[in-house]
Amino acid sequence: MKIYQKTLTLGLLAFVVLSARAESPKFSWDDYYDVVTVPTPEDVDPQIGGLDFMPDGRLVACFHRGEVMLLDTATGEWQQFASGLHEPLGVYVEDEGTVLVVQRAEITRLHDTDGDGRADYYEVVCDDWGMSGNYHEFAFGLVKDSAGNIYLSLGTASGLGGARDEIRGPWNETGGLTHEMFLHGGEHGDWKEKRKTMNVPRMWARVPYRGCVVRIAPGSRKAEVFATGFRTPNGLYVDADDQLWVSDNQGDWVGASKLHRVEEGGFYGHAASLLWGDNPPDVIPMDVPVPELEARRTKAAGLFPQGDAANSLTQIQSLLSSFAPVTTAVPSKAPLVVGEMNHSRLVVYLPDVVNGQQQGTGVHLVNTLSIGMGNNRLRYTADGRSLYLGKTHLSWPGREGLKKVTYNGKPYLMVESVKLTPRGFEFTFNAPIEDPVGLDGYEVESYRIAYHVAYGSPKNELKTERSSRVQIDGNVLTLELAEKPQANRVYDITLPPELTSELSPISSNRYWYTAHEVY
Amino acid sequence: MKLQLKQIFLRPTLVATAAWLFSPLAGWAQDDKSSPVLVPPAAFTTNCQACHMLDQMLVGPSLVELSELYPPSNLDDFIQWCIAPGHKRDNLPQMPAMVHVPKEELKAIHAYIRQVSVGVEKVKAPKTDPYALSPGSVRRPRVERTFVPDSGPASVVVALPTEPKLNVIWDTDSCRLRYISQGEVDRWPYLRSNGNALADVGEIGYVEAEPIFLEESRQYEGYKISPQGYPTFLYRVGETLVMEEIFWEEGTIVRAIRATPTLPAHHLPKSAGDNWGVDAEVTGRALNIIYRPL
Repeated sequence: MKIYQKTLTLGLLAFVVLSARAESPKFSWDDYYDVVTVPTPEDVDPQIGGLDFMPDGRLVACFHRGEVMLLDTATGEWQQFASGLHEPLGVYVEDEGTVLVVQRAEITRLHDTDGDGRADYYEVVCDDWGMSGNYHEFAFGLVKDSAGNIYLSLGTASGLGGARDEIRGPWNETGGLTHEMFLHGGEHGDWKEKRKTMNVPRMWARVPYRGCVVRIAPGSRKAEVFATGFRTPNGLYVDADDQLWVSDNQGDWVGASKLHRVEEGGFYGHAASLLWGDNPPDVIPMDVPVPELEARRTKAAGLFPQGDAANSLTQIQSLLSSFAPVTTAVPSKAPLVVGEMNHSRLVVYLPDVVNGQQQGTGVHLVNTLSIGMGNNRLRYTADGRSLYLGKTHLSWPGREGLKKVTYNGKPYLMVESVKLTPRGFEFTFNAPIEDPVGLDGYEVESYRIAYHVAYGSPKNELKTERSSRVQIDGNVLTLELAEKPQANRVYDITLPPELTSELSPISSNRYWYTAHEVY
Repeated sequence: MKLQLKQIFLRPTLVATAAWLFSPLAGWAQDDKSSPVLVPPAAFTTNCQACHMLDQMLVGPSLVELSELYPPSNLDDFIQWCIAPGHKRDNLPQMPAMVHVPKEELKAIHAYIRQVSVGVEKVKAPKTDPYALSPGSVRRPRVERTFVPDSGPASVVVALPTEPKLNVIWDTDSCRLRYISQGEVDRWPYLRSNGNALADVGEIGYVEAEPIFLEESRQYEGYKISPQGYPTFLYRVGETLVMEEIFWEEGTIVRAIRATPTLPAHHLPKSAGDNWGVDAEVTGRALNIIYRPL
């Protein structure tokens, strides 16, 4: 294991990320966070799909090849609890100590009926969704609200693969796309060749309820469509106010990875799943005119431009004051912290509401090589001082294994909120600040992220904004732009890395504000 | 993948790359020993580095291979591929479009790939399953779920403790045994293709042509695992709860089916050709079916 840790360290060195802009040169995350690699069990593919804690304090982790393992965190010993599951991507320990796990085909409740420490009853909780056999039809989750409702998200299928002969659930032929057209392999031929002749969407949702968030009521096996419009929604979270948040990955209809505040009945942008919502289209969803989709969709609470802010957001948690020096006492009002796959860092979302529109800011946290990439699952310890980070990659960027990141409690300078103003932005820090640089130290760019069927988005209408005034009043920094903020733009704001306080220099100085609405 | 990463990160060329990356300036720079080192453009570290290693395949091709594919005369092709990538290799995922990266930065990335690859040899990564011999891959009896041929996507594989190795494929959607195969179950084709290929379950021997129970309304409820590792599938046929245990005993595969309150309408499986003998016996609400390899 020592060899593995050493090689991993070298690997991390090889993946250092340099920003195009100046990061805070005097601040080191390693002065505030201790990162430990937790050895994973021998002979188990160490890609982690879910993390939670048992009532007795053991960590529950589910792994790529179907094992559910229990870790005695005091001794470091792993014990197998279950095995044979199909790519589980979520685990949830119920109050009774039973374990729910999400696998491709179902939510399963694992019971240890004879008390020998291993699950012996794999009970179906819900399998009420379709499977076409396409590789990209992941099942993500799960979370519960205070009423005990379960929420689960279902990934769309990829046009890079077809469907299998045998599927689960009815095939939706809207727009003339039949099941037979999507068959591949064996007598059906090579999919790559076949799709050249077809109008196949990049991502599709032809079996229930792909691209949707579904809700399962307590005691029910029925999955109800709760919201539509998702592509690869690999992160769900219910906050202390029972508000559901869902992350989604950049791709077609998703110009940048994003975070959604999800309400029942909402449509969140990816067209394919409209087939399973109210008023489904009678054409291939990607052929619905964009203005019609625009009229239906709820915009993202935050956009995280690809490469710069985040790639492929994952699980969401509240940013607790035990894990970072935030002064917000009410958990539901706190910022959110989200994992991401391609870089060695976490991402924080600072909410704002303008004209009733939820929007907000992205910024990096624990931006240090020591935590590594591929942070697929995040789980706080009981004291909230540590986050376990479960890693995965499948065939994409990422890493393997388990890390424990512990905040040492020493306060450092951070931004707690960013609010739009009629002329610019108001940053509230967790301590009074000093700016030895002045106006010339502020860099702002803005651009538009496209909402379209194509993959991702360029930085459309990119322009450099001129800062016209900066004012500091205690822990509040007000930045005004020469041209007042415009709607439907992302503002990429770099504060001077020299900003400092009695606590420390500024920890993260680059912010991405999504301005759907302006004053 | 763990083995691959170990090998990648131990290579001196990559350690050298790590040193390059710590240099604060873009372009050619001087390290502490005053030898020139090459620093990647920021757009490379932000957008490319997670998938492309210097000298061997990671998620995508190595920089050395890309350098060969895209000499300076193919710069336009490189830029076009970055903006609108195709999908050439079935064993690799399609690259995300780098449409957000300006063309000038793509040119800088291309130049960097060319420069950093000079004199570096490609290294072939192993393509075998690093966990092929792990207990979880070979233990029998075991129950595992994956995508298999000739059954539904929500099927279960029951690997029996036999020699030669026999496997029962049971479909949770239709609540029925589909077939019996012979050979080790190999999930690696499925795993290495990220689920785009089916697992190999060996040679299909006995195929059960139709379900035992006539009632079409069937609902899967889960399974129990015995201390020996055998499954008992639970499902409902109409309103009737059915428990179906599958195990190996005295040279036969046994399906011991019990129904509550009574055995639903059914028919018995038909003879299975020259290779399998099938016997069935009904006793009250119990139905035992025995499959005997001939």
